[in-house]
Amino acid sequence: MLFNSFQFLIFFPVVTALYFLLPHKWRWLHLLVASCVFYCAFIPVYILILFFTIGIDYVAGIAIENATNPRRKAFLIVSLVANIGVLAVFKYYNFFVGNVDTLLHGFGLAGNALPFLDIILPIGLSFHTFQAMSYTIEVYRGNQKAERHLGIYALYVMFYPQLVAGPIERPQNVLHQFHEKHDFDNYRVAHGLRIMLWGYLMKVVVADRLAIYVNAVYNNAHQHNGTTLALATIFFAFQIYCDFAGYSYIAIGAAEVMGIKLMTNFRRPYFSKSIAEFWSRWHISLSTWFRDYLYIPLGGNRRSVPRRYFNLFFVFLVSGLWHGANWTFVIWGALNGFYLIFAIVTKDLRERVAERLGLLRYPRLFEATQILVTFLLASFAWIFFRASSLEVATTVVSRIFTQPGRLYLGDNPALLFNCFLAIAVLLLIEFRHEYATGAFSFANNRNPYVRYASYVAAVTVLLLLGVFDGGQFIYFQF
Amino acid sequence: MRSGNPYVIFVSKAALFLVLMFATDRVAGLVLQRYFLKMNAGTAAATTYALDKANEDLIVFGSSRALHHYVPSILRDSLGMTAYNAGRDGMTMLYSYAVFKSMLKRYTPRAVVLDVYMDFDSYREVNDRMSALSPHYDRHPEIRPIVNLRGPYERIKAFSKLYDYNSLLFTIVANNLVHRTDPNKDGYTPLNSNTPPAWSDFGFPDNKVDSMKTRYFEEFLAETRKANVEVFVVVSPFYGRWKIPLEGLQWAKRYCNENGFFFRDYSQSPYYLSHREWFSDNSHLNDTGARIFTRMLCSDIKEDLAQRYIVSQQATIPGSNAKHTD
Repeated sequence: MLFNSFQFLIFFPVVTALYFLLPHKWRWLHLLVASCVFYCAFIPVYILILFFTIGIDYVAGIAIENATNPRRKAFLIVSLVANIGVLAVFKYYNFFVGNVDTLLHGFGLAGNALPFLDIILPIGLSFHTFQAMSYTIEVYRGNQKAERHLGIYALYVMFYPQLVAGPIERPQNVLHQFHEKHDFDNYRVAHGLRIMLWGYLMKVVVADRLAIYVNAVYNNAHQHNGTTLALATIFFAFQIYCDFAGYSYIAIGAAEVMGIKLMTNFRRPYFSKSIAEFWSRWHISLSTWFRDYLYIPLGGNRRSVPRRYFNLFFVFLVSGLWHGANWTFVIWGALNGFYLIFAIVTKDLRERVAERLGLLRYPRLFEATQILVTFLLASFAWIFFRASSLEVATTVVSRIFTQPGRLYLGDNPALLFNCFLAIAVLLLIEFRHEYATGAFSFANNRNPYVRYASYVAAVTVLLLLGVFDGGQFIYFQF
Repeated sequence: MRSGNPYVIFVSKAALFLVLMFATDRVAGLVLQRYFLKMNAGTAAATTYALDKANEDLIVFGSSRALHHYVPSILRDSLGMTAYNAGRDGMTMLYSYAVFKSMLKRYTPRAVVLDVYMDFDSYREVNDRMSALSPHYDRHPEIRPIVNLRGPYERIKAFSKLYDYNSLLFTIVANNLVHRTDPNKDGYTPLNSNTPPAWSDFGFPDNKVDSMKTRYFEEFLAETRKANVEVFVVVSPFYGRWKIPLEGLQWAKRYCNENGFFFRDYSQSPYYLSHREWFSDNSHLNDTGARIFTRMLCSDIKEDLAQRYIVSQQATIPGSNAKHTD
């Protein structure tokens, strides 16, 4: 079920109302059934994959806790193999077979060594398998007690607001909350609904509006000049941010209404002054997952300098692959890894250059330059994320730098105006949150007239400028 | 009140919000409607004209191929009937049916030209385009079944008056701030490209006839027969070839022939195919091509009318007005 679907408009209030009406002891069951219904709205049979990994990880968690040292590791490995195995089969098998075939053809050998699987990627597979893995790893590390209540553990993996696109939670943050009783709290419910409303504005008004232009250009990249492709790339940077952050806000808000606090997933990433800062603000739940469960176990930055660079680069390669079984995602990951290493290597040099240029005397200008450069670097990497193939990506890159021309206006000139307006309003609101937290507040104002007026204005904007035929959230495919 | 039952407090606040939202929706919806109907230029204004004001003897329906291919002034001079081009970019049979059905409630044109091409094939998902009719949802009940095809919840969404003007805010504001009038008051929009297209072989996968679209075609023709409106189904010129013939078009030809409706297919006419310079792109004639095509079509229509012994009725056509029902 999509958050921006009409079904969810009915599903959410019904599930929430029942949640508060039911006695605490039945709430976990109610949420679990609701989560199953939510998931089954996509491809029902794939819920069996979830049940399979839930069963394995539940047993593994208890076994890890009860076992002594060498067997603990064995149980952890069983859990990890099961989760990664599911990912490997459903997400990476066909990619692997395709590459083996290409390789064999390259050596003049017959391809089709392995058959392709005719399967559709289960929705949100990468998210819930990563969340499940974080549970067994944390139990193994002794940071989390094994959950004895199968239903509560299943709910940890399947909790519908974050089931298909995160935030990828940690057991220490969420599991205990399902055991606690959450009373109906007007303030908290209103706050949760406000967060949801902001998420909807980001998704329906900004992301889906920009998607119309971005899709029109990127789906016919060969027919557009560099100017148009550059603008579509900038638009995509905002589209993917608003699409994914919008989903996260709706998930966080929906959970908060029921008293469950989920982790922050985005903190205005396009105000980052470096790529390192960008990754501490973008998809925080995934970045910290990779940091805690891959980068640090690899040695993090405690090893030699070359090893540290390798660790960074490797983590970003894996992160790219996590996003999709396509070389475009791998390059996107590699590019981000390269950015980070380059930033570390050139840190002193860049500081000296900034000093020579006198930029340090104008800290605001320097900061604005850093933000702009970081945004442009991130946007450049997004080309590989958005392009359907390497060929399209190289076309986009080469045309941006070699073929300026007249801007494509689309079927309706109002589209571009609406796109720019949506981005301007988004940046204005985010700027206020970033730099002027004490400024006049609308939705959180103490004055009820201002508050209600802002709610009405937000819903009016949704109805007038929202794209209601917009498709899925981009991150569902991961 | 703060110390009361939290559920009661929440429900009362939610009710207050809903009342405020409802009031805003109605008031803002009325304001937007007022300014929307005041627009004088652009495609949205053309649809409003077709629905609310058109009273010409002959109306042209169809997609962009209708909009750019039929010159009303030539139709008027050749056939002796006032004419309006109600074609619209990106639209198909569903739009034509909705506008015609709505028009019939107000007045009955003497004749219609219905340009068809890819109107019946499942390849094109066109239901979303019906949002072009949303601003008229309230005032024209005849179009509601078509707009409702956009999705299963369209009826519920239409409860909001603001939603009717979704994505139109900029258009409404811009058109009312800068008072423009369309240079082409008869609907026709010429294409002035002088770059002839290259010959292309077109193809798309899974070409099937969409039964929903053919049903509305049948209903369109049935309405013309019921209202005694002369109908000319036309496939205008196309520069290119389909690798697999369009099944929908073959079906339409069969249907018209079997039921005695005028049907002419000029899409592969060698006369037009030998004049690349008359095309703006593969699907559209330029202004020169459109004028030549409209003249040729008029001759064919006259010939057909003569053959069907309607020539005698033609004598009454010049200067006659369309039959108004209101």
